[in-house]
This record gives sequence, structure tokens and C-alpha cells, in this order.
Amino acid sequence: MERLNRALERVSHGLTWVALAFLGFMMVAITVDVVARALIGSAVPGLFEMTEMSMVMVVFMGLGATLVDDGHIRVTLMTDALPLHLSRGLAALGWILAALTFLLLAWPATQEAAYSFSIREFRWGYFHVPVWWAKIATAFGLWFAALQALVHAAMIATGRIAPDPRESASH
Amino acid sequence: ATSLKFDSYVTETAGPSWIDRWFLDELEKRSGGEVKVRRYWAGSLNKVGEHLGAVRDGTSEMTLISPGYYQAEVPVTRGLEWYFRVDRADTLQLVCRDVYEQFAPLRQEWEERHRCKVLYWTNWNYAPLVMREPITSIEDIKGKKIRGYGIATDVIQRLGGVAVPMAAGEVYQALERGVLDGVYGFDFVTAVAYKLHEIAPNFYDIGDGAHAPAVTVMNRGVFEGLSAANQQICTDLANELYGGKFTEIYDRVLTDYVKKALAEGARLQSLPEAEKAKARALVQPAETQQWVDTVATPAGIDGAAMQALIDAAIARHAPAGRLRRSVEIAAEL
Amino acid sequence: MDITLITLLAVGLIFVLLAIGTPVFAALALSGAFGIIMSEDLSFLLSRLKSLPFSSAANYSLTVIPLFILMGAFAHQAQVGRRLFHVANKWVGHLPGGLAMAGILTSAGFAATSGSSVATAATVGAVAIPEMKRAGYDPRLAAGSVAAGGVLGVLIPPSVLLIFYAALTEVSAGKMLIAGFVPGILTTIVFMAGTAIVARHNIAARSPRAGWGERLRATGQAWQVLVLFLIVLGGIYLGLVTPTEAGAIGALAAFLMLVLSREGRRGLGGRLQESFRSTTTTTVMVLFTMIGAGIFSYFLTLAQVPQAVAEAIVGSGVPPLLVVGILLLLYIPLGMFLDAFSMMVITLPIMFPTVTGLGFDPIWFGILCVKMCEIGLITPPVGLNCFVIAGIDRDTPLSDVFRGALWFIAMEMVTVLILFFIPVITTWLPDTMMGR
Ligand code: NA
Ligand code: NA
Repeated sequence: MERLNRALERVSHGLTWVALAFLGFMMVAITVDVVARALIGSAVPGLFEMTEMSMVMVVFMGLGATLVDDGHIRVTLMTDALPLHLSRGLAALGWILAALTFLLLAWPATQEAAYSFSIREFRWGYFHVPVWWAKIATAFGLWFAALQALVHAAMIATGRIAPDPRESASH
Repeated sequence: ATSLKFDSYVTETAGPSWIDRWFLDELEKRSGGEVKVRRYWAGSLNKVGEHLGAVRDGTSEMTLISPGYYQAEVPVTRGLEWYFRVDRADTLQLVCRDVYEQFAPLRQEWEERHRCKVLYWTNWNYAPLVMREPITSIEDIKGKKIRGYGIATDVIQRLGGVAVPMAAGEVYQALERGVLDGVYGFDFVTAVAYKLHEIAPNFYDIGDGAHAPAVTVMNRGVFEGLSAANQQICTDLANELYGGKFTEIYDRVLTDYVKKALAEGARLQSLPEAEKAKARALVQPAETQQWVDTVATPAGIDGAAMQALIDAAIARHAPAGRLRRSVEIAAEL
Repeated sequence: MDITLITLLAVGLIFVLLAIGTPVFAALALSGAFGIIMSEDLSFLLSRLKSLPFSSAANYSLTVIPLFILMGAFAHQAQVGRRLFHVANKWVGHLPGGLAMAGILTSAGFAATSGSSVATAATVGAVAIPEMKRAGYDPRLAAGSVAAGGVLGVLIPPSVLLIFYAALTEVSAGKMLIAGFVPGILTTIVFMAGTAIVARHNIAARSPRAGWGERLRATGQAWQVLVLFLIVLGGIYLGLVTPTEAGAIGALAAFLMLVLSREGRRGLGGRLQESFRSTTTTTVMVLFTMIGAGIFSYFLTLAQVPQAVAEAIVGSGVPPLLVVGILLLLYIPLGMFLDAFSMMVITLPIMFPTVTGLGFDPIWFGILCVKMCEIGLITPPVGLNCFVIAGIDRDTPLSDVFRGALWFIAMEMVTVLILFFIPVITTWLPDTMMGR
């Protein structure tokens, strides 16, 4: 299981770079658009749509890093007060529920991605920007997050990770 | 009793919403309370761009669809969406109805692909060109930054302007601060509701005619589940809309908004006929031909045949078109 | 099952799931899913969820969130926050609770560059909390003051929330942004006065009083804040850029400040990666909380719960000003477990027409609405700012952060009452600058 966990972390590391690239793109491209409008009086065609797609990529490619960095908010007020085996069990349950949520989103998102690809969906405007690839990335990011959350739950349940990362940080 | 969800992406005071509200009210009334409609406005249930999928999958029962938001999903319906072709909005409504009856791929698009019953065709009345500074000719549009969406961006570019896509919520502020010189593609009611005239009081009729068709649909399974009597009520209401109710409702709404706009300082004007003709020549038939070449043909649709049906329908209904534009209403006040 | 019972069970389920440590987005999403399945069925839910994740993220108006957070992250890495805190300390560090006041002033200053409450709390918290602890402050006051100070981030322009209100209600975004300014200053003053009262028995060390010359010299060191302020607000106000564009340009400017600063050049690669990565994870966290809240609020909308409540209030025949007051108070229970964006989407379609229909100023109501929503950022059990502070200050348990924030909730109520009864405080600046 630890091997699987490490493999997932490596994949999430790769996905994070994709997310960072799109975040950087948003910052630079929007600035370039403003400069282009000021200097040559013309907006960059398709940029509006690409900015929205970038946001999608930042969110769904950054999901893995968010779990690794403990970025999702949780309330550990009550569970912290419980004996370790109980708080461990509840934390594992919490992550199983997170995995369930990702699954609940991943399955319909996959249907949506398949439909979008089948019609080669694009966004309107002066310039046609294809969007089906971002819908595929959305579904992929969600499936990956579901798997990652399940493995995370298993790691906590078997005592390989502390139920609350803060405790491991303070040791 | 049947409870239906009507799910609209626009506010209840937007242009087509006045038509939709009449239909919903009458449906409830004439069914004797047997059909109840819960109304969700302004994307409060589903968000913009999700309404077609929602009505197809049955998470809503009725909705208003503007084809511009679903370009990849309704390629045939987009063949109805033109500027500079149909002079009056009531004519456009009847043209859409006729072509829907005559052109099988259009019917298939709604009935089979999206599993929808078309309740009635509607549209977005007229779209003024809203400018901060006065203009007198098409030449004056050159280089101006104008907010547009969908096919409106194409018109702006063909007329020599710079099309700037922008979220609706940013438009007023962008006009105010001069990021934009003008706005195109908002129907008259929406432009006034957004208070664009506070910043850009110059509203022009550029000869583009009726603005953006739309269609109010019901999930097919739901429609087929209605009693024969209730189905008949829907058909009757649609026929009343086609028979003059549409024009009557819209004329009243447009008159109210014209009075409001004039009181708040809007200047409703028309470009000279020669300039309108110049604009028309820049846009049509090139725009329609582009749809035939780049959308219809690759999708295996006989685009030329559909456009021929549209031309015939326009010839049939244009002489009786009577829904007045805002500038005409202002002149007759 | 009766819809009232389903609603109560769904709300109860949120608290149960949160209590056992389920991630917040999952607690909201699953409770919403439960409500939808009970009132419709599973296939209805799955159909609804098809496009939700994508369309929640593919939203141009939300792109300002990562851009403003990124700007804040670069500014933080370039030590802008530390310098600002240093300046504020020179001005008020000698007063009782002076360091906490300095933290609040820093928040106010940083709020002028950051559009996000979370980013403000995180940035200021990272510099101010260690200083306060070193000086022997009560950790609850230290944590509570920066968690509360963060709310200035959405009140003092630029602000994601002010723009969001404008977009939902179709009032002018520019007017809303400018309207946030004076209430932001008032909030800052009330926080500082309140801190002086809370900390009057504080035995912690005070900084020596600095002379005027020293204060002004120190202020000059915080020039970057002024530059970012000018780029962002000046750009929007002069009509050069839209808010989203201001976010992108501000982020790029802060990026250049980081690259060119002496502090930033050491380990630049790591600092850049850290800025991008923390921005990404914060964006994901915010977006997923919004997706979860979106599912829950879809259920509430479907069941027409807020409508029923708001309509009951509107139809109750109470005097207009009291109606507005009750509507605003509704945000407190909602704010306990919904995020500000969801609260606005759910409630404004009913509240806004009601309030404007009664003849009240939409900008005035907007600022009050944003104030009430920001209180939700520091109320338990779901308080984004308190979560972030508990994440930064790992020695102070979340319960203590919430306890510290309680004082500031009381101060917020004072500010809201002032704004409520004296509308001109809110409306004067936008009406003067942009006309009625
Ligand atoms: Na701010
Ligand atoms: Na809260």
C-alpha cells in the first residue's frame, strides 16, 4: 500500500506541474491581452475561453496536491479529544466519505466528458475554442482524487499516517 | 396534480421571460390548477450553459434555450440565428415555427437528440448598438471596442469594430471606465435593465432587424405524460402566441422600457438608410454562407436547403410583421 | 418524506459529518446529495452532477480568485507583509494590545492588495502571530485578531465578494468596490478600539513609542503596498482594466517585486514554486468548498427553503426596516455552515428585489450583506478564516481560534449596527464619486 501511495504522490506531483503551468498562463496571458488591447487595439481571440479552461485545469489538476498538502479543510475539534484508535477510525471514515464524494462527481463527469468528446464540444465566440479536453481532464482529476482519498483513508486506518497531520507535524 | 420546474437562465424581467410568464400563468389557470409550475429564474437552479442538459436529462421539466449558448449541441438551430435578415421580431417567430415544421433535421435535433418537445419559438426582440459616443455612420464603428457574445462578435468584427468578450456583470463598469466603447448583442429590455444608458446613452438601430431566436421547450417524456387535455392547452397557448399574443405582450413591454429609457436619458436613434444598407452588405450573405460551409456541411446538414426554406418563410411573413422597434415606439409616443 | 423533515435531516447531517472530521466540501456535498436523493432520486442527482464540477470551475468571474491569491502569495514571499507589519507596529505598537492592532492595520493595508479574505488572513497571520506570541499575547487574541482582520480583505477593495454581489444583482461593480472603502475603514477602527478594550488588562510587553520621523521613514519602506494598490485600484478606476485583468497584472507586478527584491532572490525557485503551489491548493480548497456548498444549496433551492423563509419574513407585515434587519440576521445561521458565495446565490434572488422594492439603496444593502457574509468566515463550525489561522498557528487549537474570534464577532455586530442605521456612511463615497 505504501508503494501505491508513493506512486500516487508521484502522479499528483506531475499533475501539479500541469496546474501550475495553467495558473502561470492565466497571469501572463491576461496581462498580454491588456497590453495588446492598449498597443494594437485588438483583443487576443479565444483568450476569454482559454482563461476559463485554465481555471478548470488549475482546480482538477491541483486536486492531488491539495490532498498531499492537507489543503482541504476539516474540523478536528471533536475527534482530537478522542482516544487515538477512535480518532484514527473516524479520520479514515472521513476520507472514505471524501472518496465517495469524488466518486459521486467522477461518474457523471465521465458521462459528460464522453458526450462532450462525441460532439467535439467548443465554446462560442469569434474564435472556436474546443472544451472537450478540459471536461476529460475534469473527469480524470476526480477519479484520481477518489483513488487517492481511498488510499489515504487506508493509510490512516492502518496507522501509517497520523489521523490529523498536525500531530505528526508537532512531533 | 403535476408539478413542473421551469428553469430559466435569465431574470424574470428579461425580454422572453414576459412571454414565458404569460404561458406559465395561462397553463396553470386553464388546467384548473392541475398543472403547477415552480419557477427558477436567473440560473438559480441550473447555471447558464446547463439548461439544455438539465431538460434533456429530466432534472428540470421546462426551460428557455438560446442556441448561442449551445453551439456544438444545436448546429441546425443555429441556422436560424441571423442578423440583417429578418426585419421584425414577430416575423422571426413565425419563420422559426414554419422552418421547424418543414425541415426534418431541425425537428430531429430537438425531438430525438435532445428529447425535447418544442412548446413555442420565441426571441430576444431587437438589439440596439449601445455607444458611449454618438456615431453617424458604420465607418465610425471602426476600431471601437464593443462587447459582444456569440454571433454578435462576428457582426462587430465584420463592421470593423473590435469584439471584446466579457462577463455580463463586468459590462457596466467596463463601459463606465472606458474599457469598452460600446455594447452589442443585449436585447433592448436587458440593455435598459442593466442601466447601460447611464454611461452609454446612444442606442442605434443599425438595420440588423430581429435579434436572436430562442425556444421554450419541455422534456419530451414529461410532455407525453401530460393528459391529452393539458397537451392541448399547451398547443392552444402556442397558437395564441403565434396568432398575435407574442406581439401584443412584447409591444407593451417594449413601450414601458422605451418610456423608462427616455426618462433616464437614453437617446434612441436610427442610422441613415444608406448606412444600414452598407452594414447589411458587410454582414450578409457572407455570415449565412459561413454557417453553411463551416457548420452545416461538416455536420451533414443540407444548409442551402434550410436557408432556402428560411428565405421562403421570410417572404411569406415579412409583409405582416408589425412588432415595433424601440426607435419607432419612441417616435410615436 | 416531508420536505421540512428532509431539510432538517440534511442540515443535521452536515453537523454530524463535520464533527467526525469529514472534509468540509464532502460534508456539504453528501448532505446535499442526501437531500436531493430523498426529495427526487439517485438518477436525478447523477444527472444534475454531470456538468456541475466543470461548470463550477469554468467561470470567468471566479478567475480573480487565484489571481488575487497569487498576488498575495508573491507579496508574502517578497516580505511585503512583514514590512507592513513593521510599519504598523511603529504607529500603534506602544498602545495596549498594540501588536494585535498592528496586525489589524496590516490586514487593512494588505486588503488593499488582496481580493480574498483567506489570503489576507493567511498572509498577515504568518507574520503577526509569531510576533504576538513572542511578546506574550494571549494566543486566542493573537489568532482571533488576524482571523477577524482577514475579513477586511473582502470589504476593502479589491474584493471578490463585492464584485460577486454586483454580478448577481446587476448593480454597478465599480460602485460596489468604491462603496467598500469607508465601511472597511470603519471596521478597522471598531476592531482597533475593541482590541484596546479586550486587551486593557493585557500584561504583555508593549513596543517603545516611536517618534514621528521614525514612523514616516518606516512607512516609506512599505512602498510596494502602495504600488500594488495603485496598479489594482488605479487600473480599475481609470478604466484601463477589468477586475480580473487587474488581478493578473497585480500578480505579475508582485511577481516582479519578488524576483527583484533582496529577500526574494534567495531561494527564488523554491519561493516561486511555493507561491504557485499554495495558490493552487487554496484555489482547489475554495472551489471544492463551493462545489460542495453548490450541491447543498441546489438542494435548498430545489426545495425552495430560503424562498419560503424569506417570503414568510417579507409577508409578515413587519415594518420595512425591520424586514431588512431580519433578512440580514438570517445570514448568521446560514453563515455558520455555508460559504459567502453560496449564501449570496441562494438568498439574493429573494432578498434583493424585496429590499430594493421597499425602497432601500442596493449598494447600502450590498455592503451590509457582504458584512454579514464575512461574519460567517469567523463563526463556527465552518469558518474559513479560522481554519486557515489554525493551519498556520499549529499550537493553537481550532476551538481557541474560534473563541478568540468571538470578541471580533461582537465588534462586527457593532459595525453592522452603525452601517445599518447611518446609510450615508456607505453611500456617500460612491454617490459622490460616481453619481447616483
Ligand atoms: Na481587498
Ligand atoms: Na461560519
